[in-house]
Amino acid sequence: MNNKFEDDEVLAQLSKSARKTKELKLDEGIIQSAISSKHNIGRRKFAAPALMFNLAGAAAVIFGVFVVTGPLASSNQEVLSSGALDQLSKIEGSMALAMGHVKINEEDLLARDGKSLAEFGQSAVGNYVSNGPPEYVDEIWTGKGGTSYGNLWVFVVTDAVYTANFDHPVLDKMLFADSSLTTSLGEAQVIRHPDQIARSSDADGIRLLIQGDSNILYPLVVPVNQEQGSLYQELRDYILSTTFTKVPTF
Amino acid sequence: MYDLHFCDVGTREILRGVSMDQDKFVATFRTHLQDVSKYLTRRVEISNVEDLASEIFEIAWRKRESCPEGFELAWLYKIAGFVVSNHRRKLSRRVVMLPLLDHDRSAPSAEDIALDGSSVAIAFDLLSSKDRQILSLFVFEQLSVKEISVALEISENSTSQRLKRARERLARNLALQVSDTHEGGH
Repeated sequence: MNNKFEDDEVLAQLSKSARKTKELKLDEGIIQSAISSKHNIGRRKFAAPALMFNLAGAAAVIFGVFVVTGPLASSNQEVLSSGALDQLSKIEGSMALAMGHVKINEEDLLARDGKSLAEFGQSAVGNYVSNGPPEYVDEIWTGKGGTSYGNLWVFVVTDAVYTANFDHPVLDKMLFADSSLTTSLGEAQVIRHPDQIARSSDADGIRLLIQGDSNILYPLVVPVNQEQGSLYQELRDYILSTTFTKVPTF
Repeated sequence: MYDLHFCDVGTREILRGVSMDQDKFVATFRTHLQDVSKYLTRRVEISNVEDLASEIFEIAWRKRESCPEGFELAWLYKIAGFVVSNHRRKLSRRVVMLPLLDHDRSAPSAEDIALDGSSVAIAFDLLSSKDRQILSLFVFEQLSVKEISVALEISENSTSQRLKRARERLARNLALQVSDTHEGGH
């Protein structure tokens, strides 16, 4: 019996309806084992092929893989350089970007080009999103660190919506997990995300919104880099490959 | 200049992590072993409880610096929610992609909770996973609003609103069940 709900008939009814569950008696050894474990959960997760994209129809409007190949941005925005964004807190900067109130300019993006995925993740996510240490974000992007809880999903915007049908190492790298990146933008933002992504930058490139478990959206742009083997090329090849199904939405 | 009124900076900005050595970690979390077991029992097969509990505490150990002091159990439930979600995703054995509210995959069903009284069970199952999740944390895990906000990483205000709406929907579902029962009887 839960006296907490005496004054609430509905919750009291719910509480009383649950039969008492017989839980497993857990031993303190579990905690001791946890302490002495070799922290390999994150690595195991990243190596697993279970994380895949499978988006369908209208669902993709709410959550999915989107690719932007051209600017869809509206024009009445304030453009701030990364320097200006740096004056905001990382959280404020991230929110402002995701909400389309500010944009990353092309110069800033190009300055980040030629970096590894990890470096790019560090600079883009680390500067604007994460309030965790850059080294940690770096580890997450490379899959060397990370955690086994919390899923951050990648959104890519284009002139159409593509759905990914199966697993791919590129996107695997981008499906990372880290609760330290979670600071909520609020649910209201989620339904507007295609527009947010489109407005996150005027720069050409693949725009990503990374969605956290709490409906958090983190903007990230992979600038155009025609060099073979660049992240841009790798991503673009993947996105435009037959592994995606084009879904006309906007 | 920035329209941030939707933004929910969340409790993480307010709650500071606590430094924990091995002894303190064990001492702190030993008291929550059975809470975690109950939480898992309501959501997964009993045969998986021990493994998942191990995973939860492994993560907790690695992330102990971010554990907000005074909200250790709620923080454990946060981890547990993700662990259960991942567990369920693996079980689904299908090519899966991002349920929008992935965290809510940890919500228990009426069957998980072993609700008796069919009208309550049906009314509960008619709720969204989001509603079931927050009601479960409040009613069965008996977390406070503040603790739920830590577990779900949303603000207290959002927690209160979500809780209120979930409760209203449950009441509505219950009323419908009663109404259906009466109509069926005539």
